[in-house]
Amino acid sequence: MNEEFLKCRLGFIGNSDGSAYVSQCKTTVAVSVVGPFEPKSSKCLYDRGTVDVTFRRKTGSITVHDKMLEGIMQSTCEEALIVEQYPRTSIAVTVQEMQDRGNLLATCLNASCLALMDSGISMHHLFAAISCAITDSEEIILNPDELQINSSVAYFTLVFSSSESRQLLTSHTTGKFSHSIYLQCMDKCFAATREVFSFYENMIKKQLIYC
Amino acid sequence: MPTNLYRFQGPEGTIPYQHYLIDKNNTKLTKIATALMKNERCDGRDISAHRNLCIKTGIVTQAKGSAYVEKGHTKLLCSVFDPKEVPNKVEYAKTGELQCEFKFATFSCRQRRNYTRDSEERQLCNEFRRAIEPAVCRGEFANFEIQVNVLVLENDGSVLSTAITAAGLALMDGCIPMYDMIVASSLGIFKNTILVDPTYDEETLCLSWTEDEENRGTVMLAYMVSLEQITEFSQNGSMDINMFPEYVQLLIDQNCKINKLVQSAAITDVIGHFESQTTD
Amino acid sequence: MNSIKLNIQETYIKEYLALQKRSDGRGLTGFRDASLNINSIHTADGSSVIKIGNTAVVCGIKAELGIPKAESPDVGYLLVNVELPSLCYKKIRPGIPCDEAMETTSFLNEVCNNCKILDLQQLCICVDKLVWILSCDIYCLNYDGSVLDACFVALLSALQTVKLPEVKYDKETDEINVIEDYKFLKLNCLPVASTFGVFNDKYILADPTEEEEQLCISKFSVVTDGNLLFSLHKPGGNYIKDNQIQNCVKYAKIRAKTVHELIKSVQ
Repeated sequence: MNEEFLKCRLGFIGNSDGSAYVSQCKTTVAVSVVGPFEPKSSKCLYDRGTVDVTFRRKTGSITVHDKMLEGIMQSTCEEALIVEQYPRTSIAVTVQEMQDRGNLLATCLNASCLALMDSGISMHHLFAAISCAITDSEEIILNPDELQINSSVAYFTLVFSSSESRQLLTSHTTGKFSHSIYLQCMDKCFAATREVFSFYENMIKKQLIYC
Repeated sequence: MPTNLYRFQGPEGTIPYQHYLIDKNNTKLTKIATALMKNERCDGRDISAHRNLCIKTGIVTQAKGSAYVEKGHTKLLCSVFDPKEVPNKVEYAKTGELQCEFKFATFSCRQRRNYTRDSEERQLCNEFRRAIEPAVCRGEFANFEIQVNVLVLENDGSVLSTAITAAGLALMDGCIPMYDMIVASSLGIFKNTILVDPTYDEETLCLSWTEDEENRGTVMLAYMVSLEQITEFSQNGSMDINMFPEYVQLLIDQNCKINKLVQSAAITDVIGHFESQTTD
Repeated sequence: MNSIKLNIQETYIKEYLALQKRSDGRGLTGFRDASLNINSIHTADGSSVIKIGNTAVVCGIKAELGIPKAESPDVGYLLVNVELPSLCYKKIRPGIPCDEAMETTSFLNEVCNNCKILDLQQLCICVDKLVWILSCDIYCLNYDGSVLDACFVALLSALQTVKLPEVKYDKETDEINVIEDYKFLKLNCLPVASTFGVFNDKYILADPTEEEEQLCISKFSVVTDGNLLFSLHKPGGNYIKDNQIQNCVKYAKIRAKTVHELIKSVQ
């Protein structure tokens, strides 16, 4: 995975606690993190903080399908954060689609992880999302583009945590596939996450030098 | 095209295919009408007989109390939840509130229904709430609300009366304090014939518009049998005012009959509850 | 997960899971008994009621005629919507659909469209003019965990009961004629979903109840027809180990066969 593929700018929104502008291939998303702040009393939990992820399309309105993506992002982010450290607070993550040319879910998840890192909120682990497509001839393409996704028989988005052992956090699949090919994809994707994590590391290093 | 944010929706202006079979439907109504002139009903019932009732309580295990009632083809489910605080309420209320929801499943009627609440559902919901409110000891849970939900799975006439009977059972199953069991029944009036517990087709016939002044319409009455009190009376259509005492008397007699069934269901429910407790 | 819940979870592990038992007497990988009933709703064109343990779901299908989309003039509509009405669960408030209902709806539609359980071309009556619209509405009547599994069975068995009449459409006069010659729909495959609750990295529970779902750290759903996988869905939550995935897939494939038998037995 080269620098061309994944691009990122951290802290580009001045008045939020953390933000990231990430483009992966031709797909671009912007994420801002605000919090921890004092929420409405109805959302206040006495022993932990609440995490709210909102996903926005560039058109403004979202569909039922986007609600599912939002749910996936929500539970992935919530698990990564140490919410017990922020009781009676709320953390708001807003994901804004800028351009969608395939791999939207993976880009959104990577961007939210970068934005959460930028915000400085304590986290259990980092996470990296990788998508892959399977062609008719059972070939696995990592980070496929829009055309490759549309012509594929199956398409996966897998999220792994940053721990040494293989820990699958999220799996979202479309299309028909066999179990063995899924395992192959898991191997390939897990290997690819290492590069994403090193990218995260470089990004944060750069950010620290600026400060 | 306005997109629905919450659901997948098809194009607008869809037509049910049954519309093209409509000629048959019209003859069906006239057939019912001519049969009624001879005091006969299309399903073979006596005009003063109600349809068979099937009662099951406690089928929604996640709710505090619930009841499933089947009357002929009319099927509905009612569930009741624990009293809980009214959200965003500042003032103190002496009596508890009943929060009712009356919903038709989209496939419950001949014509497909929409997801959002329409005016018919709203009206039925209001009548439903008015009918069961007097039966519940609302002073027992001041400042709280009880949620009563009704979902109609299939509508084959007399929905409201069936729903009220089901709600009485669900409240009983949920151990909500009540003054008395509540039951309801309905009548369809077609000219001089009085139909007990009309089906959907009979209801449509009774509510169809005519030019000449004749009795047509439906009446519904909710009743607490041992207290001998009427909690709600609703009437649709136009009918002779002098006939009302007769209607009310007939409805009360019907309600007494239904009450016997409801009571026996309640007794088996209680016995079953104690039996399951002793075996635990 | 808060401290009280953590406490309950620990007790549950100690008192049940360590003995390979669950509070309702099942083994860890045991599924609840299911019963299925079809064509019970006469106002719908196809219907089914499924009960898995205490979870009850009813699916009704209404067939209507309408105009197809301009970009795909020769396919009909298959619209699946899951409703979790407030009567089925205490945590659901009346009003707009809750997030879970929307997520389940979206997931069902995704699987239906990607796996082509129905050839949408057979719903076409006249290209660009008239197609069938099948609105499948799934109502949950009792929310006791693994609602997704029940939704799939309900949807498939209801689709198998749908009978569509023959429709003649005259292009010149726009006249529609319905002939009472009813035909069943052809289904390509029968995907069966099996939900698993991941308790921790040691225990995994098949077909969790509502109580167990609350204690689990994450949910994992496998959709399969017994042979190919249609989806491995894990919407976030805590991690799952590789061998756990393998076990889940194995059990899901066995489950799919029993569910297929159940669907066949009622027809």
